[in-house]
Amino acid sequence: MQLNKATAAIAANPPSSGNKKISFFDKKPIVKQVKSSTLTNIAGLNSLITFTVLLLAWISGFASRLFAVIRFESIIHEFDPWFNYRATAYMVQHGFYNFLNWFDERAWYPLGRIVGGTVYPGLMITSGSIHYIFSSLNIPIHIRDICVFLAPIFSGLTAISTYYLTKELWSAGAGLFAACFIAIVPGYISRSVAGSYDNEGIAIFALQFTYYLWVKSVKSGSIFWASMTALSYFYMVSAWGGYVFIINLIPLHVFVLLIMNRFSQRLFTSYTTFYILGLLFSMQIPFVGFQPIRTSEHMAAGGVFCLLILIGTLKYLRTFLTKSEIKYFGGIVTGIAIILLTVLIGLTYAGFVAPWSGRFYSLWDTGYAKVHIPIIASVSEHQPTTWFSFFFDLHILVTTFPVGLWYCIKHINDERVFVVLYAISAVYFAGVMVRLMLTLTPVVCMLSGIAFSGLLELFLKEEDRDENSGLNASEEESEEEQEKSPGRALYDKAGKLRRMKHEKPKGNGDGLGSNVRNGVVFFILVLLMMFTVHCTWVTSNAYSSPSIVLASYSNDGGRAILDDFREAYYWLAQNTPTDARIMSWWDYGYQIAGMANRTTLVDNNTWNNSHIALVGKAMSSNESAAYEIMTSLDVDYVLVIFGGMIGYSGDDINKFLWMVRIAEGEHPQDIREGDYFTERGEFRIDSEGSPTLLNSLMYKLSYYRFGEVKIDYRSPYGYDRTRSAEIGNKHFQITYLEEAYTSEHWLVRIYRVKKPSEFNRPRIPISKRQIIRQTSSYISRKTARKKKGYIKKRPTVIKGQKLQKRIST
Amino acid sequence: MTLEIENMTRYISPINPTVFPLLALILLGIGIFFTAWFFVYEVTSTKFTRDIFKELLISLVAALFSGFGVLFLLLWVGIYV
Amino acid sequence: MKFYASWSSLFKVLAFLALFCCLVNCGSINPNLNIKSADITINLHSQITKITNKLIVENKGQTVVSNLYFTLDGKQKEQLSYISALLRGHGRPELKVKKIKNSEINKAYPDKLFYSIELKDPLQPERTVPIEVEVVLTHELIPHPKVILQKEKQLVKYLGNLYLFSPYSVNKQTTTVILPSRNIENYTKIKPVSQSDSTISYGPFDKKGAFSQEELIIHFENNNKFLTVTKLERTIEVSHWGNIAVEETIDLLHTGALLKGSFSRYEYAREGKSGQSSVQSFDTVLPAAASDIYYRDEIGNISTSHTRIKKDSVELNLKLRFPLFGGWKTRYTIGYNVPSYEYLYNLGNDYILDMRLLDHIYDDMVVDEMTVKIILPEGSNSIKLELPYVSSRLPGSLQYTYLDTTGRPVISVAKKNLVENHIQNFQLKYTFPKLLMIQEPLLVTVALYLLFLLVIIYVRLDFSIDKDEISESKLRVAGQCEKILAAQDRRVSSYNELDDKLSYLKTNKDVNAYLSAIKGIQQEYKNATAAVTELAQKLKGEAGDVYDRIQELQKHDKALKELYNQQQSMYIDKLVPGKIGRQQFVDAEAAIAKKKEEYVEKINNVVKSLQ
Repeated sequence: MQLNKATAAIAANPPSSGNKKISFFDKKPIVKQVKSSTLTNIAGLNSLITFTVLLLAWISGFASRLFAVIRFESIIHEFDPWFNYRATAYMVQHGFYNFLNWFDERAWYPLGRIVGGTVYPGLMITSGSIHYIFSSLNIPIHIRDICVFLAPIFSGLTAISTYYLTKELWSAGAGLFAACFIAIVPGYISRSVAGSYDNEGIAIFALQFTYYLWVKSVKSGSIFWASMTALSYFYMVSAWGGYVFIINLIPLHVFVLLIMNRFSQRLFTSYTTFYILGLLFSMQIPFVGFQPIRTSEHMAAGGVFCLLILIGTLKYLRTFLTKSEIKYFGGIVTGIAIILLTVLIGLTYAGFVAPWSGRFYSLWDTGYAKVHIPIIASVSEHQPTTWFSFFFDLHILVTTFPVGLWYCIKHINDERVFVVLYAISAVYFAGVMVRLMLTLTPVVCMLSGIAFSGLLELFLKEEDRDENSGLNASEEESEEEQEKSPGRALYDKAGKLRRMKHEKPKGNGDGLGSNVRNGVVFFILVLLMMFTVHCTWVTSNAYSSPSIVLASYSNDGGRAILDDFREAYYWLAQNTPTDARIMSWWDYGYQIAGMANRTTLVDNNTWNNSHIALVGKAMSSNESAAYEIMTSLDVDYVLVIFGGMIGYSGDDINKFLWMVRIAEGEHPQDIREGDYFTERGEFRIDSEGSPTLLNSLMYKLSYYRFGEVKIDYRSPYGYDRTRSAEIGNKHFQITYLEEAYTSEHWLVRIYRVKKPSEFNRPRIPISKRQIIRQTSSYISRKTARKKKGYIKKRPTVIKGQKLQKRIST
Repeated sequence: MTLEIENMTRYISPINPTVFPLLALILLGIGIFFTAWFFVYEVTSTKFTRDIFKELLISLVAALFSGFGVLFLLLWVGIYV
Repeated sequence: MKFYASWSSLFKVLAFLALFCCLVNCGSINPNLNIKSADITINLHSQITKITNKLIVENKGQTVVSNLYFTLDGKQKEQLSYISALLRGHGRPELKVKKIKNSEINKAYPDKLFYSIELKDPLQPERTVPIEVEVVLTHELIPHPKVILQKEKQLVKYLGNLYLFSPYSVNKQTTTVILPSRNIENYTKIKPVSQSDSTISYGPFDKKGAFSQEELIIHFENNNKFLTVTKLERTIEVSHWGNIAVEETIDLLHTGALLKGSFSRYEYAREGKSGQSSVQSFDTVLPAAASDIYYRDEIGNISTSHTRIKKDSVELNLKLRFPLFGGWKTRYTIGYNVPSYEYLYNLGNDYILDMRLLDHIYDDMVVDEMTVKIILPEGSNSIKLELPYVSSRLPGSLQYTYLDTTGRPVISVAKKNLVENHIQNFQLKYTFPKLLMIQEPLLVTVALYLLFLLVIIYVRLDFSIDKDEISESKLRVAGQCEKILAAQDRRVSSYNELDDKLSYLKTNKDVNAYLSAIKGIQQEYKNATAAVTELAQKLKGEAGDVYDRIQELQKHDKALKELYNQQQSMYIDKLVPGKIGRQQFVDAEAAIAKKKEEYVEKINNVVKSLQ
């Protein structure tokens, strides 16, 4: 019995067994719990985890952008980046002030281009200063490598600013989710892979950071944060034309807050400070200049500023005026507002304030550009977004972000109004234009972060409580007390760590069984994993091609690199006179300037539509008419892209109709789109194609001697792989030009324009060497009214973003 | 000069290049650990609890290991300094 | 520079000696020397002219002759790239060849180039010596016609001297011309002459006087590579971490017949005969240990090249970005790493770099202009350079790259008109203190440390305009609490140790060992308690409630300590001497343990409230 009792006692109350070491077995953990050092580290652990997650987001974002570098090499991609790179290299070589005054005579021959005044210099300054810091530390990194890796590095900064913004809006946990999302989401990667050295790469960071500072300043009402917002806005203005989005969204936020009767001194302080400083700062950028006070796009910000001051005055007056007097003042306010609006309209009408630009109109009316500005419509990234690309670029986020939006609306406060407005406007713009997916992506990431964080907070917390329910109650108490204790509580908000606290479950979580919870958590994890896989796949397959180096894969997995572009550009660089003028379609202008360092006639800046139209006309005309144009423009070489040999679809014949259309816009007498179609309205290059097409310069330059080529035994001579047709005009000679170089796979063909003395033809006296244009019968398809917003003589009229990128097919 | 190739030995690196990756990883790992410790300490301590000697010591260790780690990282990736 | 001076002074001495020799021995051309027979081979196979003169020299005089002259026409001065002589026969030892400048002879024959060949053993009277003089000339073959169409063959014209251009009379000579193909348009027909396949043989000719000349013109087809490296920049960077990096930037120009009219890709790809003289690719031979090879130009990698690793070399097949036709040029960079043990020798702090000044680019290459830069590790000094042939040494400079402070010394050498025969080693001696190698990691360390110091200073800065007293005091209290808790932690660990010791005592019943063991623990405990008390005093004024809680903590702790004392005395006084019954002991211990637990609980609560 005794023995039994004793053993029972051991089981019930171990210390009472006077036996050996067991006596303290149970006590030790209790005594040890007194040790405080394990608990003091929570704040440190918290920040360490946050830091680690952000660092990992940065690293994974950086790494997933390196597909192109690993598969190919450290090289600048596509078209626009080549200009940015060239401008950066120029700035690094000649200094900042020479860059601001740079007149580029290698572009837009014979007009030239004032580069310093027509670029957003933020990108160049950023990479230039990085280069400066490195070189002053004796680290000899080539400026090209800095340019290539700038966007991936900035994607990390974007992730961090997204974290902070989401933290301000919701919680740190949601912020971490958002940071991880934005690090790898394809919608943002599409513009920030290594080598894609474009304004958007740094602008999204500036955008997010400005918004973070704005939210911070609205929350705190401090002049410091508002000034920081203005500074960050200044950086954004210097980096990208998309700053217009900020300068309209922030006033919209203020305006909506006013309507919601959420006026506060904080709002007043932050907006007035931001507006005035931001206005002054933005006008320091040469390309922007006086636009902030002279164009309609910027007027809303000014209007809201006035409104805010009026309301501020009203609120102030209310403190010592009677109600009836207030009503009186209300009338005055309305009156002033009406007067201001009238003045604005008057100024617009009188021409002091520029009306909305064509590009701006095309945001409201998607058909506008197609009718009036074919050159804008021709750019593939200006096409309306398809439903598919929403899913393609955002995957699971596109379905979860409405959840986050709903959370925000449900728990609305000043700053959540902002994110709601951000989301709604960005969704609209992303639907209008495919390139504006970029502005939608950050807000989608933030709201999805909020949604996921909300879900996990709910489900993981329950689970924890279940597991730990048997634990000592004192622990819970201590945790709660810890919250109250000074200092450390400051750090205790990170959502992910919240589950360490064992608050009483609130609301609806009670009814859920652990199976449901586990199932949901598992489901969320699977979703996130699929998202990651999708992001990597999209990045790897869709967005990681440098497009100047092509790779083809053979059946056995071997890879062949088609380096024709660089082959031809390098030939131009080495074996043509340094002042040679190259005519090509505008898509290749920046690449020729960047890689071949030769003078071009038109490039991706597209500021001068009539010049482009002239080149389009030369390409669309027959050889002798084209020769007239080419001699009048002093063209030495003509470069065309021809994909028929290897089946490359982005070649000039596929873009040809846009050339015709743009040429027709300026020269409707000489070029008619209808002439290039068959009678049944088809665009054909085979023998049934229209004779105008078959004799156009572009056709001849593309297919010169192609009729003798037999690609394989089954296909006939002159079989175009891209268009799957046998060419219609095979055995022709060209008189006014000669083949100067054709790359290995015929992708790039360069022709030299012969001098008049080189063919059997009388010399034209210099006085007659010009195009005779029948000015009297010049017909424009534009009416005087529609002419507004048309980009013609003034380069500065291009507001917002400059357009570019390849032409669509 | 009496120096002739005949009396000299072929010069090899004081550290075998094949261990550069290992050294870089180990040293950087230790360096990062101490750096993390340092920053966690900086974040968690208030101005009344800070101990300057502890800070200096941790940062010195962190700097030493990271410094050598960075050197071997450079050597590993082919930047022969 | 010191080295340079000694080199030039050596020259002066040698020149003086030569002059002396001339004055004593001959004064001018020695009339007693005679060339008994001469076999001249003119190799026109590639773009360069290689002339091998096999001579048998006879001394008909009475005196011993130690050196003899070899002459070239003054017109060949620009073309002459390389000249060497050797003794035919066993071992083929090389003979020293020196250009004669500013001597009597130059004045006597201002339009001729004189080279003095120093014989290994002086030539005794009435004896003969067989020697071989090799002369390499560049840019002697002129394309004719100067421009050709893509499908045409490349024809070149050679203009030379049929006879040996010698200051001595020649008794008997033959001349053989080797051509790349049998397509010969035209050649000088001076009998006796015979053509077989791609070789033309002239002679034997009878005795000719000194400096005899007869124009030799050959117009023939030569589709071999007419490629000239117009500019070669070679950089050798030595790292004492075991690597030598070599980088060559090469400007290539096709110096054959210029391309007339258009270039047709169709013909080039489909017709074998099209563009025969163009150059699409060539092989570059790199050292066997070369690794990390890259081949690129200003706009990126040139992805079309592959390497073949051979036993004693790495052969790199370089495909140019585009085929080079006459007059076309291109430019590329090639670089690789070699381990230092291949070329660097060391003894203590002294080092010798023994490496090729010029390396192979393609077979039968012509380099118009070469600049070699040798970059030594930072801190190298007493640099001495020994060159295999006369080159101009450019002023040294400093280069700053990764982790440099004072800059790396750069030694630059330039030379014009080089051919394959110039692939020879230079020796660079320098001193480098080994300790300097640690400078680089220390630099990074110091930089990082400064960064940390910056953080340490930053967290101590206070930018706020007004002082927030409440949060300030909160922070201070929190800081004190933390210290108190740290002391409490120490106490806890001494309790834990005490527990261990007690349980040890219970099993082993060794009182002495126990007493000596707990001395330290007791001391530690006392210190901790004193520290808590002291810290609590500081808090008294600032935060009364916290102070009260600490007092409570102290009270509980005291009680707990008392319990431990009880336990201890029970063990020592009763259990060890065996004065207590088993059941009694178990009950007593259980009672103590229960009380202990109570107090621990209380202490825990206080501690948690302090957190």
